[in-house]
Amino acid sequence: MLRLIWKNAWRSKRRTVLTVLSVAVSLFLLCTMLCYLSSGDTQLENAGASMRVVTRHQTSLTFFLPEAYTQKIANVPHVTTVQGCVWWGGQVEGKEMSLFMSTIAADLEPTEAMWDDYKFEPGVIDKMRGEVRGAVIARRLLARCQEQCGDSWQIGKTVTIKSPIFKHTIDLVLLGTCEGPDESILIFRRDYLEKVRDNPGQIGYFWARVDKAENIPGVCRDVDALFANSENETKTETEKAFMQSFMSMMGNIQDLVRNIGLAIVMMILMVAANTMAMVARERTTEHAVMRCLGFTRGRIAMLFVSESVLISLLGAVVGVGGAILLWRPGKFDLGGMAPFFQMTPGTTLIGLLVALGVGLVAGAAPAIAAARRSVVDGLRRVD
Amino acid sequence: MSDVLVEVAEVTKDYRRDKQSIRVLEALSLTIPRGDFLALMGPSGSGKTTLLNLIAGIDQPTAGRITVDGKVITGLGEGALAKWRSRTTGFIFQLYNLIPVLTAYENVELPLLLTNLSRSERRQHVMQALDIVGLTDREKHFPRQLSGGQEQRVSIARAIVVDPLLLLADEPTGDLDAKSAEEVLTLLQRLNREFKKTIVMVTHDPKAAARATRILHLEKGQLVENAA
Repeated sequence: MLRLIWKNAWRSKRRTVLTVLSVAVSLFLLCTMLCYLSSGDTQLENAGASMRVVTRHQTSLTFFLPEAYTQKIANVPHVTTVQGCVWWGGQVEGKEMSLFMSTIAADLEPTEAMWDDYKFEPGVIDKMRGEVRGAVIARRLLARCQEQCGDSWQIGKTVTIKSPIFKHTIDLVLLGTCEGPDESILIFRRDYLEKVRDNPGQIGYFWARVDKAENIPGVCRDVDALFANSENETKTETEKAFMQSFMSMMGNIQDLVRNIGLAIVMMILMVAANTMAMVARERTTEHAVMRCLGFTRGRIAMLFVSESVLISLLGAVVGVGGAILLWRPGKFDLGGMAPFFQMTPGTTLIGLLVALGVGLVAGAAPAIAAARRSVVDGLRRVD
Repeated sequence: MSDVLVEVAEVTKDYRRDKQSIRVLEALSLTIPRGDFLALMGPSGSGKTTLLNLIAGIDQPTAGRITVDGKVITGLGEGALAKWRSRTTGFIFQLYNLIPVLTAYENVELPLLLTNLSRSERRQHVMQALDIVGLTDREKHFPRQLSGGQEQRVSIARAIVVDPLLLLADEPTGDLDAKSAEEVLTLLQRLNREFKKTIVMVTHDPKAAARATRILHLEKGQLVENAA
């Protein structure tokens, strides 16, 4: 019976190949979109395990807080380290669209204690102490910069980047690399930014490390209470909540990706259903003959649906398999915007289940119609 | 065991075309003894194929009863009828109706896939059937690689592979040249005489009908003549 299903599927080779390719391309696109969505989820998951909280201006991230808050936050019970940061947002001239980097001006001293989930190249923080323009760059970001900008991006060399926020450029000396969850990071000294901007004492947001996970809600509450009714009220939240609010700025993109994914599933369904409807029409007499031989309605329907599922799964092997090969961990990260862009077991499973579902649904209606048609009508038909 | 294999009792068959009802068979009664080779003749629209379909259990009469080998098949459910057909009847079509993607061997094997026979047992049955029709050397050929006569012989092998009680042939020589038609008729005659198969054959061709042991004429849904 399996042989019959296989042979039937390849009866019209060109049509089957085209259908398999249509399903494959669609599933590849679907998996690519799912990779993008799951990258965001992984980022949030990682942030969820963090012992850090973020304090920012209650109104918006675009409002600054006074540097004096650093010590006040540090004095809150259970806070072990505080680091003032400014999101600078780096761009390289001419590579604005293809090269994304999270460039942050940060207080230098608390860096290693705050970012213990990052591995800094030995001695790099010491080197930064001695060089006000010094910067540490994520290893993968450095590789990407070298790919796109050439050898000017080397450790020890000076690079020029511009800020889309502050509308000016700065020169940074690359002193070493780091590895961690965010592989698009570039950290330089906040005092250097103050010097360049000639506007000291301005902090974009504070990172605060808490001693125990159970103390995180209390610290968030206490920090905000500390600055309540002041000129610069704060909003303190967990790293995960902070990431979520960051991502919600791209909420429409995520919804768009989801909707396109649904449209792709519908498209595969229509292609597969159209193929199976043609197949059913062509084999009307054959099904009648098989029923004369003793095949039941159910068995005819089963043969038909199996063929549809087989074609869909062949498409999945090509499409999902291609996505697995291409979207291996670390191979692609949308220029740093999706650091965890990769095929996960969950994404693979969804791709295969969609293929299975499409096969079942696309084959079901023609299969039922074929099984319901009377044998006499089927035999009377002249192909 | 009764000598009568098929008993058609007062069978009427109406078809509906839009809102109009067309009577194809009217209170037709007929008995077919075991080992009979019956030719059904008659003009187009006389009800020959309808009668054949009713005996095969692929259509249901509007009224009356059909009994095959002591079993009343009228009113049986679709599943039960399919099972009954797979064991009791073998079908031979005018246009052979072989599955084009299957070899001669695989086409003949098809009805056996519905049984519990092992692969080697199936092979034994298939090769025996192909041997009877003289096509063992064509087992790996696809239908497109066979002549019309050979295709029809494969179709006959497919019909006899389950060793059915009853062979039903609808214009089996209608699409063949004279030589191939002769071969097919000789084969049917051999199946009837040597293997004691009961055969009901619908034909327009008097030469084909002459090979049968009995000829019945149908006209406007009723038997009009019975010739020996």
